[in-house]
Amino acid sequence: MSKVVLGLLLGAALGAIDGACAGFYDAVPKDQLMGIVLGSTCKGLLTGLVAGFFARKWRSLGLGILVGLGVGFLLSYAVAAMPSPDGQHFYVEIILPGMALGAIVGFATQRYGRVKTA
Amino acid sequence: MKPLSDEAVARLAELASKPEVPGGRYEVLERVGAGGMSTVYRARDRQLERDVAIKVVRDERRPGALAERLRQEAHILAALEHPSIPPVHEIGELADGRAYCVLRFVRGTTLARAELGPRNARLRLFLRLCEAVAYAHGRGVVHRDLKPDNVMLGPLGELYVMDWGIAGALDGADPGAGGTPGFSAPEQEAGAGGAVDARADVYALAGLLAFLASGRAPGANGALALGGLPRPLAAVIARGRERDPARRQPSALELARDVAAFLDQEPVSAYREGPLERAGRFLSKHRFVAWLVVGYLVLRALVFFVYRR
Repeated sequence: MSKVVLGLLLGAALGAIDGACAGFYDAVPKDQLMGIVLGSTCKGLLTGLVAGFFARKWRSLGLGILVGLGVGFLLSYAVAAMPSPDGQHFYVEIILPGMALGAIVGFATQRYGRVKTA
Repeated sequence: MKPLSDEAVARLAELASKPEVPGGRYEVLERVGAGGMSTVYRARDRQLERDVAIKVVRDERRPGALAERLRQEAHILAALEHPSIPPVHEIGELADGRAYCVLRFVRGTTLARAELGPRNARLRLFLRLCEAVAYAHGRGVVHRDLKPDNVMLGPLGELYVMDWGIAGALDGADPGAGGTPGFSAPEQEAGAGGAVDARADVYALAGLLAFLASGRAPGANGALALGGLPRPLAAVIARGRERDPARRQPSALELARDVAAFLDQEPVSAYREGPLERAGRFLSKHRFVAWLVVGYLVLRALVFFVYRR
């Protein structure tokens, strides 16, 4: 499995779990849950894609985790900045898991997955 | 006059049998081993100031046949240039007519006696053994007597495949009976002659694999004790030990590929795993990522309970 594919798969899986967790919050309308899961999956996919490409180009565990953290933070922040219908913001609930997702995907793509050789 | 003790007689006999290599280049120092057809001595090469091994035909009653066998072994070794196959330096005839050959002196211990460490390290050793045997097969030579006593480990971890005395050509020419019960293939023990090919070595290698994996050598009847081994590894061994050569791994490299796959926690060709086993192997192979995911879920739960709204 290539690093990019690994990043995409892991990012999508964790993103989907991340989104599904929103269902546990009473403040989140249930009719929006599917949209949240899809959006979160896309967020995970994007993080995995960036981390995978980074790992393909640069081999550094520390930098890989940092990049994952950074991308996870940026994307999560962008999502968290959008208020819920009742005007609430879920900064910590969205950004913290988003950054953890990024760090995990950054680590996994550095440590595992194959680099295609010509 | 006091009669000589048995020990003294044996000592005298050993001294008397010490070979004198013509030319004075080699000083024979001590006997280091003996097999069915030859005795091996450690000797000093005075010219190049190094130790060498001198293999001398043992039985003077049938010198012709054994001398021919030793020459054949020397020619086989001369054709095999591999770091794990000791090179031959010279062949000749002693003053008493016995044939000899001079080989690299390999220091170390046999696989049978070595401290081999954890199982995965032993399996990696096996891969190197397979490489050497596969190289010989590629040069048209089948060893026919692979066993723990015929594999040496040097002090720096070097591995040598020894005793090519009954090795034969892959072209079907039968060098005669031989081998070690428990390790030699059924077709070899049955004297199938031309039918003995590289797969006979695969059978012996599978016996060696069983020994390395479990610490127990095959019984003289070929029986294996594979209890306690992971199923895929046991299946790889069992396939290599099939009585029918056609059902074994077709080559030493194929056998090595299966063992390498087992080491990498990849599926092996000899074993069809169920979905649960596949999932277990996947989780075991990627356990660190699996633990990270578990950690992530724990973090997610913590965030949920702490910031519940």
